[in-house]
Formats: sequence, structure tokens, C-alpha cells
Amino acid sequence: MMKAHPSSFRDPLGFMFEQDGVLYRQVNESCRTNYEGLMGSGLYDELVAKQLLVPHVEVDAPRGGAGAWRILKPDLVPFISYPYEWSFSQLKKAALTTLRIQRIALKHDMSLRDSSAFNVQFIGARPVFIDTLSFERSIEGRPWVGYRQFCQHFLAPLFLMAGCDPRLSVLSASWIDGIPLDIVRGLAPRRYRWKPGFLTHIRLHAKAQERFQEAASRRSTPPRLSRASLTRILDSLRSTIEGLSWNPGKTQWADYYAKTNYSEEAMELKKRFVASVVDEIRPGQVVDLGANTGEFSTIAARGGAYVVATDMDHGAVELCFRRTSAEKDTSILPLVVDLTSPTPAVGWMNAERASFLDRCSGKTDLVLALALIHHLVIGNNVPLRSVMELLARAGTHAIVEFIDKRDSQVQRLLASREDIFDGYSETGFENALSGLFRIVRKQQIAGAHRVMYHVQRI
Amino acid sequence: MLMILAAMFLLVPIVSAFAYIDPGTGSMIVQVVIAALVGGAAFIGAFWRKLFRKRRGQDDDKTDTENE
Repeated sequence: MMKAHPSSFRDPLGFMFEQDGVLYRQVNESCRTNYEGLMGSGLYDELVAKQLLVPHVEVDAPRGGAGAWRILKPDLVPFISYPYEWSFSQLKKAALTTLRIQRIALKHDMSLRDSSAFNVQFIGARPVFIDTLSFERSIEGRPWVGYRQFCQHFLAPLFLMAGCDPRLSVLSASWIDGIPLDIVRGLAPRRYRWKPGFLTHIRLHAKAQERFQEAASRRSTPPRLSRASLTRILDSLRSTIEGLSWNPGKTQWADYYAKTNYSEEAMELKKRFVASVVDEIRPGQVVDLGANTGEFSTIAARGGAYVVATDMDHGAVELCFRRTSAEKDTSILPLVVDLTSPTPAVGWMNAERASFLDRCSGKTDLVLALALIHHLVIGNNVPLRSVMELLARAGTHAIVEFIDKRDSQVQRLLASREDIFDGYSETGFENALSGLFRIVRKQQIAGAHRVMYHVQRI
Repeated sequence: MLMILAAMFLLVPIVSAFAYIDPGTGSMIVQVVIAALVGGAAFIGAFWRKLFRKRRGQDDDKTDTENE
């Protein structure tokens, strides 16, 4: 049965749909000129050769709906992620990729007709543009129609993340068409006020939006902007973004491994346990919950899996991304996800952008929950049973590390509060599995109050 | 200074562009102003460098080789 993709309804020139579990893109008759421009100008070939655009093949059937002219079957990105789950450097890289694509497009007399951050996805650390229909023939003299979106989707959150706090990336989930510029103007630190990039693309831009808010209905000749001027604007955006930085410094979790309380030997045991399970079940997709800087994600990736390495800490995710990016890794996708409130479904009908758990379910073969559940149970009062329900919803297998109350990390969590966690014990943990998981293997970590479990969903 | 820049808007006619997303009238017009400012700054910069004979390779037509 044909099912239109819930995020693909705005563009009259085409849309994504699913048929028998396969994702297709319909190109409507009205998009013919644009599509022929993309394919015929050499732009498609150049972007695909540079791995900047997802490749596709044209297929005969099926049709997704009226007006169909071509049906495309694009290569799929392993795991869809959203700008509000990216660390600072991920968003920065996605922004620079969009500008680079626009520069290449102009060279082929084409232009991006939108510049939504949702059009960029990551394959591991490599950004790739996924919207094949975003290109149109460029009209000489016309300003860039994607400029507003670019500033609101990329520049605005980058200024806030670099200037105030990286955690402000969550604002992009509330304003899915980009953060209003007047908000950024108000929130950004004073030191940005007279910086050329902020002064022009944010302050002046916000002023222009306010000034012309009511004037849109008046019609006259469009302002002319030469190709050279347009290029100057793109260069200005690029140098503005390149000039922004954020350094994790000492965050709560980024130096977590340095503070752990168990020996190198215990750590080695834990790594071997994970490696042996990965070797045994050969998972296609792994979700590492509370991945920190991705040490165990790397072990899973080495076993051939695509790993989504999530952590609530921007610093840890940033460090993980910097490392995988430097290594040009395409098998680990680091994301900022707070498990106590995982990324919700947002947008139109609450369906446009899926929730984190919905993106995991049905596709994840193995979930890693290492040194995690004591934070959820004792740090956040989530019942053990409920934690296991979360893991069961996320994937078919799980590796869980149970850390009992004698462990100094757990003691630290209990130090400032009353111990109301009577059921928090090895027996309690195993009881919490009943009906959800069966224990495949269990191993005590010598010299630590920790037990490793490999469990499989029933 | 913002007032002066805002006054420049008056010199720019209203846009009507056709796009499936709203490009925003102000967002279209402001590009003309920004291009002029950036161009002006580049010109002054070039003049300044020439004045002090601090010429260096200017990559006006940067290709997209970065990030590769």
C-alpha cells in the first residue's frame, strides 16, 4: 500500500512515499525542468561524486499519486537524525555543506530553492544532502530564496550555541522552520553585536523582516542581485560560520572515563564482553544509550554495525563527533539525546519529525546500556521494570551493565538523598526482565560490583 | 548605524519571488543591502592593502575545495 511520508507534503513538485517497505520519491510533471537541470547540467554527477548528495536510480513503478513524471529510488541514510540532536560541530558541518552545495549548484547555473537543515543527514560523520528536488535553475539577478531558511535553520542556532550554550539547540525542535531572528538578536551575547556576520545576517536581516512584514502584498520589480554579489553573500555566510566555535572544556561527562572507579582489567573485561556479543549476533544497527564519547560504540562498529551513539551531554557528543569526523568514520553517528525525555515527535500532526524511540524501534538489533541504568533508576526515579521496557522497545538484543549499590558511583548518587530503592539489586534487576527479555549470558566483572548481561527480547 | 542601514531599504523596490517556501520579502531585500556592504568592505580592504603594499593572494573566486 502506498503511504506518503509524513514529512513530505509541503513541496508541490514531488514527495516521498513508501510502498511495500521501500522508500521512493515522486517527481511531478511540474518539476521536470528542475530535475532535468539537475541531471543534465552535470550538477548531480558532481555532487554524487563528491558524496554530497544521496544517489538515486529512476524506476518504472510504482506511482505515488497524480502528476507523476518520474519515480526515484534514493539510497537510504541508515538513521535519520535532526538538527536538535546534533552537537555544535555537527550543525556547523551541515551548514558549511549546504553552502558548499549551493556554490557548486551556481557553477552549474542551478540553485537551492530551500535550505532546510532537515535536508542534511549524517552517514556516520559524513554529511549528505538528501533532497534531490531542492534544486532549480538559477534565475540570473534573483536573490537566494533559501537565504531566510539558511539563517534561521543554521546561523541562528549556531550563534546561540557558540555564544550562549550548546544546549540551546533544543530551540530548533520548537521552531522547526528555524529560530526567529529576533529571538537570536535578543539572546545572543553583547560581544556579537558589532561582529560583521551577526550585524548583517542576524540584526539587519531581522530588521528587514520586521520592516517588510506588512509590505509583502505590494508588488513591484524584484531587487536585482548579481551572481558576484550572491557569491559574496555565500562567502560572508561561510566565513561567519567558520569563525564560530565552541569548546566542551570540562563538562560533567566528557572526562567520565577518567573518573571511573574500576581497573583497566575490569574495563577490558567489559570491552571483551561487548565484542563477543557483537561477534555472536552480528547486529546491523546498534543504539548505544549513554555512549559518552563512544568508546563502546567503536567496538560495535568494528564488528560491522552502524552505531547510533547517544548521550545527553553536548560535550561528550561533540568529542565523539570530532574524533569520528577526523577519522572520516561512516559507521558511528553521535547524537545528543536525553533518555529521561527522548527527542519527541514534532511538526505537523506531531508526525513530521519522528520521535527518537520510533526511529529506533524495529530497526535496532542491539542496544547498549552500559553504566546507564543506575542513573535512570536512582538519579531519575524510573522503576527498573520501566527501564527494561524502554530497552525492549528500542531493540531486540541488549547488553546491560548492572551496577549494585556497593559501587562508589551508585553511592555517590545515593549520598544526597534517601535510599528508597529497595528493589534495586541483582535479583530485582533479573525480576524486572521477566516477560520482556531472557538472559542469554551473564558475567560478573571481577573486582567491581558490576554484572554484564546479554539479554534477548522474548 | 542600523538606522542608516534601515534607510537603505527604502531605495530597494519590493520583491515578488515565486518559491514554494516563503523566501520572506525582507530576507530577499536585505541580501542586496548585505551584498553592497560586503562588497564595499572588500573594496576598502583591497584599497587599504594596496595603500600599505600588503598585497597577498586574494581568492575572490574560491572553488569548493575546502572540507575535502
